[in-house]
Amino acid sequence: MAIQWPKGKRPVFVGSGSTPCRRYFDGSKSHRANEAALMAIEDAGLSVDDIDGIYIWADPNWGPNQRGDIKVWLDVPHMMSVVNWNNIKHWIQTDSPAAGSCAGPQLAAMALGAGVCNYALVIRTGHHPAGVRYRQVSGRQASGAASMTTVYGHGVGGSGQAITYQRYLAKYGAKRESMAGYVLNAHRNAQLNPYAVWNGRQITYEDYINSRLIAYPMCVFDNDMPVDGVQAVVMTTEDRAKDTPHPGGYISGIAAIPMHRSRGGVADSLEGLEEMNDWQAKNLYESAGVRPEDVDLKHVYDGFSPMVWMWLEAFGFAPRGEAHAWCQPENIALEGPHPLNTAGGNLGNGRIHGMTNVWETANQMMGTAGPRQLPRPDGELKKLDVALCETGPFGSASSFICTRE
Amino acid sequence: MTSQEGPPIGPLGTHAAVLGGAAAPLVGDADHLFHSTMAPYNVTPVPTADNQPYWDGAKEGKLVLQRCQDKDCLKFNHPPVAVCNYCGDRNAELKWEETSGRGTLYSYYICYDTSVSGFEEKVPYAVIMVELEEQPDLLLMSNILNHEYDAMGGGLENGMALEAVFDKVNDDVSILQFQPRSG
Repeated sequence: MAIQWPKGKRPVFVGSGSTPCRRYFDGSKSHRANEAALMAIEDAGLSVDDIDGIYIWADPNWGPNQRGDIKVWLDVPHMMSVVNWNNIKHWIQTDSPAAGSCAGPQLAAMALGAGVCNYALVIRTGHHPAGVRYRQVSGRQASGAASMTTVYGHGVGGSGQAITYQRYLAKYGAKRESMAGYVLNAHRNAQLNPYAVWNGRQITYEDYINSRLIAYPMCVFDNDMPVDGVQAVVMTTEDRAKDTPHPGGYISGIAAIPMHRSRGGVADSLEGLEEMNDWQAKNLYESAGVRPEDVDLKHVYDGFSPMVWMWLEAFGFAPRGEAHAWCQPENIALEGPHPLNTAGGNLGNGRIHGMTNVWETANQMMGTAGPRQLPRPDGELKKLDVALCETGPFGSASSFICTRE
Repeated sequence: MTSQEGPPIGPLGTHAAVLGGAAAPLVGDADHLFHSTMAPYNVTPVPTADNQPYWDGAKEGKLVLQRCQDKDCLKFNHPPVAVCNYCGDRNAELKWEETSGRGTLYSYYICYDTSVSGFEEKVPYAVIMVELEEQPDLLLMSNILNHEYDAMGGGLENGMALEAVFDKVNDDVSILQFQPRSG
C-alpha cells in the first residue's frame, strides 16, 4: 500500500545548499553549518524565520574524537546555536539507521505530512580534523562481540565490506578490475560538482588499479575520503511549495533496513545482506507503488564501492550476481540510460555519509543540478519522473523514492 | 560557488596524502605470508558474563558456542544472545555446547591498513571468515595459522577445509584460530 499523504501535504524538496567538501578545513565547522543552512533556505526562496523544523541524522558515535570544534558531528543542539533561528517548533535527531542520511528527509517528510512543522531543514556534516585518524580502534582490551573480532586485527569500515566483496567476487566470478567502471564514473561526475573533494582531478584506470591496497580485494579508491563539508536541503508541503521558485521531488515511498532478516555470525555474510536488502527494496517499492523499471534517477550508497553492485542488484536494476558487468560507464554515465550517483556519490564528493545523494536527488528533481541536470539532450535517459535514493551500507540503511509531479 | 584552491590532495595512492597519518610499512614478505601464531596479541579479550563459557572453552582448547535447546530450533547463536535469534522464543533455554571445530573458508581479506592499534606491526595479514559445518550461516572470524598464502589471496580458496586451533596468549586466555584441516 502506497503512502497516503493528506491532500496538499505531500512533502517535497524546495531548496539545497552545500559547502565545498575538502580533506581538511582550517576554519570552523560552525561557520560551514551556517553557510550550508542559509544557502538552502535562500535557494528555497525562504527566510530563517520560515524554518520551524530541523531533522538531522547525527550518528554521534562515528568519526574521530572531538578535536577543536564543539562537536565532531553536527547535532541539533549545535545547529540551534549557529543560525539565528526564531521559530523552531519541532526537531528530531536520530543516530540510526547508521550511515542513513535518508533518515533526515524521512523524518522531515513524516513531520510535514502530519502537520507538525511547515518548513523543515535537513542537514548533515562530515568533519575530519587534521591529526586524528578516522575511527581508530586504540583500546588494548575488547569485550562483548568486539572481543571476537578485534583480537584478529579486524577493524571497522572497509574491512567488513572486504569480507562480503571477496565473497561476491568468488561466488559470481567477478574481478576487482571491473570496479574501476563505477569508481572512475563517480570521479567523472565529481568533475561537474564544484563542491566535490575530487573536483579538478580525474583519476585514471591506472591510478585505480595500482593504488595502495587497504583490505584486499579493496584498494584506497574503494573507500570514500573523510572530508570536512556540510550539505543541506529544505522541504515543505505541496500546498506551500507552490509559492517557492523550484519545488521538485515529492516523497512517495520510504523504507529502512530490516535487520531481522539476517542472523548468525560476528560479521555480515553476503547472503544475509542480500536477504536484508532485497526486503528493503521490496518494502520501498511497495511504499511508493512503483517498480524498478519506473526509476529514472538512481542514487545508492557508495561509501565503500562494493555496496554499489550489491544495491543495484537488491533494487532490481541488475540481475543478481551481474552488477559487476552492468555497472559500467555505458550504462551509468550521465549520458547513459541509467545515470547513477550523478554528483559523484561519496567516492567522488567525499564522505558526508550519503547526504550527497540526498542533496543531489533534490537538485535533480528541482531542476537545479546545473551541468549534471537530467535528462540531457545528448543522453539516453529521456525523462526524469521517478528518483530512488538510498544511503547507508549493507546492514544499516534507509531509502526513499520521490516523483517529479 | 567556491572554486578549488589547488589540488585537493597530494600524490595519489600514498597514505599520508589520501587518508591522513602514516601508512604502516609492510612487515611480512608479501609473497610468503605464514603465521604459526598471531601472538603477541595487541588486544586482550575481556570475558563478560554472557560469553564467559566461550572463553573458558577456548582455554581448554574447545570451541564452545551457545545453542538454543528448543527441539524444533537447535540453532547456534554467535555472538551469544539473550533471546534466540532464530526462533525468538524467550522461554527457550540457551546452553553452551562444544562444536566440532570443523569448517570451511567462507571469505577473507588481506589487511594492509589496520585501524586496530598494535596490528600495524603485523601487516599484511589475512582475516578470514569460517563457516562451521554445524550451521552454514554461523560465521566465525579468525586469522589463518600454519598455512602459506600471498598478499593477493593466492593460497586461499573459499571452501578450503579448516579446523579450530587455539593460540595461547597466557595462562588465562587462549584465542580461537583456524588452520588447514589435516584429515
